[in-house]
Amino acid sequence: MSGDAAVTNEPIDVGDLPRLDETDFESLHPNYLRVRFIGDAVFAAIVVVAMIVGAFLLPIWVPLVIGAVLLTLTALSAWLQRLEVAHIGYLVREKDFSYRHGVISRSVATVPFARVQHVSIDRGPLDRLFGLASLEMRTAGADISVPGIDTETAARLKALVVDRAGELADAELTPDQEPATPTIATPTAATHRTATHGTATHKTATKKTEGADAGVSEVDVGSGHGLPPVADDPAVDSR
Amino acid sequence: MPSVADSVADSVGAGTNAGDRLLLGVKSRQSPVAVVFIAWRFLRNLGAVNLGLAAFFIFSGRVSSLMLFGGIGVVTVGLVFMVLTWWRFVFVVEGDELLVTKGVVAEERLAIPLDRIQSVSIDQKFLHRPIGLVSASVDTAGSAETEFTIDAVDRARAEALQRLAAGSRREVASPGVSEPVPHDRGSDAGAPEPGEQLLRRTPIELVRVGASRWPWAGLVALAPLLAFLNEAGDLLPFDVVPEGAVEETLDGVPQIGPALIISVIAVVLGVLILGAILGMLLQVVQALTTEWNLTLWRTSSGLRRTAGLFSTTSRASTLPRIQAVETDAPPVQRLLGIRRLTLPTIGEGDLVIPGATSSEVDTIRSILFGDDQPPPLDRMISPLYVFLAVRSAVVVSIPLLVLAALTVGWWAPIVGIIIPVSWWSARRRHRYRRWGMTGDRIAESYEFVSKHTGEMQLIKAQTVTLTQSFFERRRGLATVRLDTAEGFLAVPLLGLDDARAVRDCALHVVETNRGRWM
Repeated sequence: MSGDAAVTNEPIDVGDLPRLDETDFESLHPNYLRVRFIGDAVFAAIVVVAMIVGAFLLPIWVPLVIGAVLLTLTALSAWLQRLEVAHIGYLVREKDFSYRHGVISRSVATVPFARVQHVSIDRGPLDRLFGLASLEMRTAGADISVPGIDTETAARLKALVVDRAGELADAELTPDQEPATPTIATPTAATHRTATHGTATHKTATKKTEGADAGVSEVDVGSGHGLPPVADDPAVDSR
Repeated sequence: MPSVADSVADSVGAGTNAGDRLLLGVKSRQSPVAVVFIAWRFLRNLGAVNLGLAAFFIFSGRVSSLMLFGGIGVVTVGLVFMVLTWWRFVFVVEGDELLVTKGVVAEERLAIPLDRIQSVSIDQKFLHRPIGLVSASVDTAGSAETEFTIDAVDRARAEALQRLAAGSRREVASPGVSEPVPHDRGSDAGAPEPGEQLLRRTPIELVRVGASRWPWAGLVALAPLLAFLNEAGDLLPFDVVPEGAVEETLDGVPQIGPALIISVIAVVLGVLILGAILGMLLQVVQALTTEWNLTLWRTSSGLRRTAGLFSTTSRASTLPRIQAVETDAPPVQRLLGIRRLTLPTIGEGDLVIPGATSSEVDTIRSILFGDDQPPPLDRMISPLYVFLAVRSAVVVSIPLLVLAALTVGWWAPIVGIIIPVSWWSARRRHRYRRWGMTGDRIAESYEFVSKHTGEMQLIKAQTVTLTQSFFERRRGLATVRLDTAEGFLAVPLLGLDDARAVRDCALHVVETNRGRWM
């Protein structure tokens, strides 16, 4: 607040800010769609069994009509889920994590690492069967939960978020120091991409040379090599 | 309370750190009066409806002896549980930590470093008054909610804890500098840590505040009573509406003619006017009792608000924990030049200052934001806002029209008035829906009848979300929402590029500014 620093209010050129590139999100693991389809398949199976039983107890057209409606709705729901899963994605940058979701109403929520209070990995029975996990990030405000990431990437992501959040919290405690440059003091530094995506990353590179702390570049999570090593037990909360 | 501690309290010099440590260094329980508060919380958790049902069964005689004994058993077990809850709650300051042990079945131990205690709120409720006790709520930096509350404790201990926590925070902020903390035992629960008084409400100002609020909110207090009256009406041995009051035609359907509609309108208007007057009176009484002697202090660590006639509440927050500055003014308050100022705060409740003048708001703004002007409110949202509102009105009015045609016949088209009214109100709301942004803050303002303004520092954002509804996506628009640790600010129907710019700018500030958000 007022006591933190001399208050300045210089206009900033929005065009110079790093942009969040909404086209370069990582998709979920293909197994996640299978997990979602299993629920639909179970429901469809129950409907078919109920139809067969109903055929013996009621006039034949009653179970046929109800069953056809339910099966159509299930197919529709499966189709929507397919669209939904295709649209879910996440993007890791040096200083924040974005999560894109929604079919009809679409949204991109971004959590700066500096605001993350708590990271956890959840794995339900089906998730375990398919080698998936969901990554949950809590802040003092809204939370983000990303489903359908493969276990190893989830653990790496968690380690990365914890790492960055810790670094930034330390930096926040010592506000008088020069802000840290965007170079990352983790195994990530070796492999993270800096100039592959259009204007945003180009600006990042320029700003880095100027020593300003405004750079935001993306971190490679696709291969999993760009992330810190996996924590011993992914299910244990970070804090 | 153990008498040893009381004697220590009397013997130590007032306000000395060592004295405070000595006082709190003895393991203490709350006053046994705390059982009453524990019971009250328990009853409140049960809910008014359940209690009402139980009372109904008991007093209507529809209860068997088995149920009665069962009920007595449950109450006894509950009482024992409450006494145990009180007995097991022990607190002590050891070294630089406040240690709390609690829990009946499973023991829970809390160790809270004193420098992590953000605030200790001292309340004196009505029940506390005659016995000279207070309750103390402890907020810590780690959690967004109150860590725990000591329901009934003597004032000396509560204030000692407040001073120790404030002292530790100062030591952390500026090690080596220890400023003396004034001590004023025996004053109102108000100012154990006095500072500069920013404002104080006189009774006349409070009457103005109460009388200029929306009166309907006051009627909410009567809602349970009305519901009860309705229930009681069913139990009466006679009908409230005498037979023949509604004129019936031969086929038994009540005939709805102009006379009936006019009389219904007259009755509704009369009830509304009476309700408004009654609600206004209730609001005045409420303002006088809850906000009596409302005072806002600028303390060494932040702001403190004290108020209350029968139960005095004292609520404090450090400046960084305040997440935004909001004002709300219903029409009468706007004529009087006052508004309700809300400072959404992490922890136990917001700091709310009713009846704030614009200069008071400016003072508080300058404490929080420095002398910077607020962001200019020079941006508007898309005019498609009006289209959306009218479209919704049309969608709602069609089924209503059908329903009305079936019931009131030729009077049905009157329902269609919803559409021009919503068009007019949406145009007005759109005209006054403004927002603006500078490099470090975002502000918004909207009004229809009441006026709302909000201003927050971008650094307070926890998450930044850009959403596009189906409608927004087709029109190249988006909604941007900044969630803080207490509330959010959202601007809908922005051009997509504008929304992205707001998002990117907010993220830039959060990710590069090293200031504290709490």
